[in-house]
Formats: sequence, C-alpha cells, structure tokens
Amino acid sequence: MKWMLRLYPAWWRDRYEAEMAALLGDLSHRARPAMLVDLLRGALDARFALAKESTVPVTGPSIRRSIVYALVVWAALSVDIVLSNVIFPSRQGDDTLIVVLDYLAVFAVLATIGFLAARRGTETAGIALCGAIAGAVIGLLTIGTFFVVDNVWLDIVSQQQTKIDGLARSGGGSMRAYINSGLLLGAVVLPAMLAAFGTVLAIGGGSVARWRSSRPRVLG
Amino acid sequence: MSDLGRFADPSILILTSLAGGPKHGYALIKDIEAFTGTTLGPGTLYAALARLENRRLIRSLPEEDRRRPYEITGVGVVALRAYLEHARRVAGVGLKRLAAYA
Repeated sequence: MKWMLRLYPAWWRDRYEAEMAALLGDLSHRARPAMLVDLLRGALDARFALAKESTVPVTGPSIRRSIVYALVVWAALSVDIVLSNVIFPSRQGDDTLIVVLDYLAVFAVLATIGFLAARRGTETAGIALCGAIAGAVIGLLTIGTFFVVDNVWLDIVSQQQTKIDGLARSGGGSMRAYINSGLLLGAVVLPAMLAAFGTVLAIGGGSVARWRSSRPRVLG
Repeated sequence: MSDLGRFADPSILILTSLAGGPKHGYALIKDIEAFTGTTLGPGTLYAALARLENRRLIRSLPEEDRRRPYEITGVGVVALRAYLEHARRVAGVGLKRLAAYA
C-alpha cells in the first residue's frame, strides 16, 4: 500500500513520506479497501487544498537551532584564534594544519545542521536555508573576531611572518590599514563562501538523515 | 479551529489524544480507537496532523525508529480547552432540554 504515497505531491513526501510509510507498515495487517480510498482522498487534499497552506512549520525552529550551533562554533573558533594569534603566537605563521582542521570542523557542523534539521522534518529548502544562515553567521562573526584580535593585539599579530610578507608585497604603509583592508575583503568573501558550503553540506547531511530513516531495518 | 473544515473532528480527536502525551501516527490511531471507537485512516490522520502543525497547535519531535512523535503545544492546549468547554456547555443545554422527553 506504500505505493499510494507516490500519489502525494513532492513537498508532502519530502516532509511526511518516511513516517507515513512506517505507519502503513504498522497498519499492513489491517489493510482494507477503505484505507486505499482514505489515502486517495488524502493525496487529493494534499495536492489541492493543503498545498495552499503554509507548509514549512518546522523551518523556523530549525533555523533558530542552526544559529545557536553557529554561535557555538564561532565561540570555539574565537578561542582558537586568540590562542594561536595572541597567547601562543607563531612567528612563522605556519598554521596551515590548524586552519585546515578548523575548516573541516566547520564543514562537519554544517553537515550536522542539515542532518538534524532533516530529522526534525524540515523541508529541503529549509535545510538549505539553515546551512546557508549558519555558514554566513560563522563567517561574519569569525571575521569580527579577527578584527578585534588584530586591532587590539596589533603589536603581537604584526610580528607574524605572513603579515610582514603581505605588507611588503602590498607596497608598504601601515600594518593596521593593511590588516583591516584584508579583513574588509574577508567580511564579504568568508560569509559568502561558508554560506555556499553550508547550503551544499546541509543538504548533504539532510540527505543522509533521510536515507537513514528510509532504509529497511533488519529485525531480530 | 473552525477553519479546519472536514478535518476539524479528526483534529479534536488528535489534540485530545496528544493531551495525554506525545504519540506517533500508529499510537494516535490506536489511542483514538480506544476512547472513541473511531478508526482514523492514515490519509485523514496526516491531513489533520499537517493542518494542526501549520497552525502551531502541535509540533513534531525528533524521529524515533522511523516514527515521528507529535506533541500538543501551549497554543494547542488553549485551543482544545476552549473547544471542549464550549462543547460541554452545548452538551449541558442539549441534555437538559432532552430531559423533557424522558
């Protein structure tokens, strides 16, 4: 009887198919023609009446949770930034490994946001929005942290070899102006980049959640 | 709840069931059967659940073993109480008037 669910519109299946399929499995021993008629009426209702209503009931809470996760990630990154730039600064500026690990951690969180949003029943568009917003928030606030750290502890940060080399390549001038112009560019590029990654990774995480919830389980 | 159309009755049954605690689809059908003798079809059940969720009268909880439980919200509690108190007043008047026929 689960084939009847194909009569429902895509947005409906996106939100309810997995749990309704589980329900039909529970009701399989009671299947009768009236149930087919009921499902047909439900499919018609979803296509013609319910479709006119708002159908994104769980997007709002999922977005709020995504922002909370983004704030936690930003707080962790801020601690990392202060530690690696102020408390234990590297004169050589060779922090490639830490930066790669930071990016991987952020990507993992963005995928997890999609996974959790899908488990809450958020639609694909809502999942993408959660990932994009989380990515943009992480990017924007992290640049904000860099702005504070680089300006408050300029005397420490300006000793990094990468900054010295960068200033020399830029033709000289003030270190503060050089750093802040880079941060200004970063304030545009980093949130946009993380929003794009967030969209893709959240959809990926959401797909994993749906795949896990729809695969048949072996009992016993 | 007057805007729920033909799903008003199933919606009341669902809210009444969820007032006893969160339940997934099959548990709702069994519980409603137990206290009304009425069996909701899966199409009717989910049409009503979607409407209740859209109106923030219920909310879905994290999935458990491919089944998603629902719980009544604060708004749902207020709406159900208002409906049931109105129904009790109507029932009281109706029963009193019917007493004349006894």
